[in-house]
Amino acid sequence: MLKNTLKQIVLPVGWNALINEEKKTALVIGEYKYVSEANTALTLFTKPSEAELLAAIPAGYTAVYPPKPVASKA
Amino acid sequence: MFVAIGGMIGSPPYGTLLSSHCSGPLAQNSGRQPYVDASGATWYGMFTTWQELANGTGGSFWQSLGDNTQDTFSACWYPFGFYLQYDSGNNYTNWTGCGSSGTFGPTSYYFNYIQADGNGGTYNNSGGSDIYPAGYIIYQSGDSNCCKIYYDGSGGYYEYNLCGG
Repeated sequence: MLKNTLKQIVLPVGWNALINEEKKTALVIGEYKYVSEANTALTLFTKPSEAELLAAIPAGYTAVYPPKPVASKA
Repeated sequence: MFVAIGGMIGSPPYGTLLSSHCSGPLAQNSGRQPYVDASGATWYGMFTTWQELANGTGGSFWQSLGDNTQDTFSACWYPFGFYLQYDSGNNYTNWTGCGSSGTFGPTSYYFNYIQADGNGGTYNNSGGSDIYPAGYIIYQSGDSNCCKIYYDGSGGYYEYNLCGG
């Protein structure tokens, strides 16, 4: 893959997704309770709730979630 | 009947054009030479136009009209598969967040080749592949790993911080 041009963006409070126009995916990166940052070529999408976020994902795009960490036994 | 001017038969003067060839891989030995393509592979032939010129004493020598990198005539070309550009490598992601920073990867590799089509033209062959999926955890820290850096699947990253700002 050719290297994408990355941009520093602020991830606001709320439910955030990163839209990958090339792969037609919406990476749901979760609910943010504190402002964070990203350095990405993807497009930020923000809504107050998960349901609103999923409903706002453009037609033809697939919502994907980061793999959940495997819980380790104590 | 042939009568030589001046009463003697002379050799063609120095520089007289005797023949011209662009024989590709089948070039005769007199004009054949190695050509190193962009990948480092060596090809043998005459991929620029070569002329056979008289040396003035009955013999001949060959000279190239090209510079070995650029054809001078459309009838003379590199063989199929000859690399004119050979660019490939790995991409890495530099990240900063959760009170730390680092370099992650390689996160993807790429290639971008331009090759001769054997008919005077070229074709591109480019692509690559991601190595890590979106959502891969690059780094985590804090109580119960409350701060995480994730790979975004496309060369970038994002921070997810539940540590309290």
